[in-house]
Amino acid sequence: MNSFGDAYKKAADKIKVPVITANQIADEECRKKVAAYRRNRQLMAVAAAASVFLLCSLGVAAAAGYAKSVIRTTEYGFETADEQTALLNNGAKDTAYPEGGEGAGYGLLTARDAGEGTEEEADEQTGGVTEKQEQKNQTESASMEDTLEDTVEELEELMFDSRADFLNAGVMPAALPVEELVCGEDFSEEYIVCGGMFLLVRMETKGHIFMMNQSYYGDSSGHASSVVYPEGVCNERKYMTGQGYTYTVVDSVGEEGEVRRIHAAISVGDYELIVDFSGYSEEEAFRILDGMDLTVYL
Amino acid sequence: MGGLQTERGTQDTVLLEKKIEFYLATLYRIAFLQLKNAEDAEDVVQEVFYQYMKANRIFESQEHEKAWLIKVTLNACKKLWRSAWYRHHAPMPDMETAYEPHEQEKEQPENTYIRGEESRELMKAVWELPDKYREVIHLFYYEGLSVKEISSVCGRQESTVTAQLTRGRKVLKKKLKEEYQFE
Repeated sequence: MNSFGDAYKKAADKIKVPVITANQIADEECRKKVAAYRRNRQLMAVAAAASVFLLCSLGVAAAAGYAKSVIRTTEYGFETADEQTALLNNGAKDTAYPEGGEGAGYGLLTARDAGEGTEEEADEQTGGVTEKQEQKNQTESASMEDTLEDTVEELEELMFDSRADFLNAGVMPAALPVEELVCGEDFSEEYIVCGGMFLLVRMETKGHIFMMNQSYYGDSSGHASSVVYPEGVCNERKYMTGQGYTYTVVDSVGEEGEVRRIHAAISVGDYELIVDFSGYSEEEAFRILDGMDLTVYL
Repeated sequence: MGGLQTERGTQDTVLLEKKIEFYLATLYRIAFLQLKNAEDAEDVVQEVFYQYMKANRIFESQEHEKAWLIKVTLNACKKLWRSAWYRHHAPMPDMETAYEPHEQEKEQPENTYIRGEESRELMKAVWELPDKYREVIHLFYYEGLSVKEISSVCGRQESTVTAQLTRGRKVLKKKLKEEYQFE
C-alpha cells in the first residue's frame, strides 16, 4: 500500500509556482493596486460608464413591496442596486438565459475571465470606447479601488464558529437556516461579520456546503454590487417561500448540464441576501429557504 | 518604487531575492490550497514577503523564520477571504494548467499518465476537505510540521490539531478508497 505522505508530496510538488521578484515586492504601491484591481474587477466593470454591464432591468426585476433593492441576473451571477441607482442605469436587456446544456458554458472561468469577456462584448456592442472615455474610466476605477480598499481595511471584523456565539453577540439580524436541515457528518460552521453591515455564513457538512452573504444598505444613499460565479449561471426562475417572499434562483451547471450549485438572491427591507447551495438538490435547497425567517429584516 | 536604491537597499534586495527563492514554493502552495485560486495565492505571497521585508525581523533559527512566514501566510489567506468576500465556488482547477509536468520522470508515457491521474485524484480529495482539515493535512504531510508546530502556526490547541488530523485522514481514507497508508 502506498504511503499517503509520499503520494501527497509528489502531487503537491506538481502545483505550478509563479515567478516573483524582489522588485515586485518592493514596489508596494504597484503591487497593492494590481491586487485590489484584480479582486474588485467586477465592481469596476459595473462602475465604468462605457460598459453595457447595466445594473437594472426594471421590467423584469421590479422590486417587490418588501424589497428596497433591485436584483438582476447576468450571465455570471447577480447584480443588485438600490432603485434609484438602478433607474439611472436602466437597461432593457432581457435577463432570460438559456437552460443548461451546450450553451451553459461550463469551464473554469475566473472572475477576471468573466470580466474580460464582458468588456469585449461591450466594445463589440458599443463600437469601442474613445480614448477620453477610457481615461475617465481608468480614473474612476482607480479612485474607486482606492476607496474600496480603504473602506474594507477600516471595517471591524468579528468571527464566530458557532451559531450560539453569533446569536448571543447580537451584532446583526440574520435569517439562519433551520439547523436540522444543514447539520450532518463532519459539520462545521463559521460566521463572519464585517463592520456590522456584512455577514458571511458558511455551514459545511459531508458533501454539502451552505453559504449565505448578507448585506445591509440602510445607511447608504445608494449602492451597487455584483456576485460572479466562475462557471456562469442559467435556469433563472423564481421561488416563493411559505412566508410569501420570492427569491430569484439560478443554477451553475457542469459540462453535461448537471446542476452543480444553486444560487438564490432576495432583497428584504434594507438587507440583501445571496444564498449558495453546493451538494443540495433543488428540493432540499427550497426547503432550507422556506425555513429561513426573513421577517427579521423588517 | 521606493527604498531600495541605496547600496544598503541593493543588499536588501539581494537578501529578499534569496528568501523568495527559498520560501516561495512553500508559501505559494499553502496559499493556493487555502484560496483555491492562483492569482489570489500570488497576491497573498507577495504581501507576505512585503511584510517580511517591512518587519526586518531577526529570527532565532531557520525553523523560527519558516514558522513565522507560514503563520503570516495563513493569516493573510484568512484576511483576504473575509475582507474581499471571497467565494469558494471555483471548481477544481484544470490540472493541465495548475500542474507542471515532471520532466525528470523517466517513465513510459502511459505510466506517467497513470501517475498523473493518481495525483489528480489525490489532490481532488484533499481539495474537497473542509478548510481546517486541509490546512493541517498539508502542513503535516507536505511541510513535515509536528502537531506542536502546527498548533503554533495555526493558533489552535494541540488537541484540536490532532482531532482535525484524525478527521481529515478519516475523510481521505474513505474518498481514496483505502488505497493509501496513513502514518
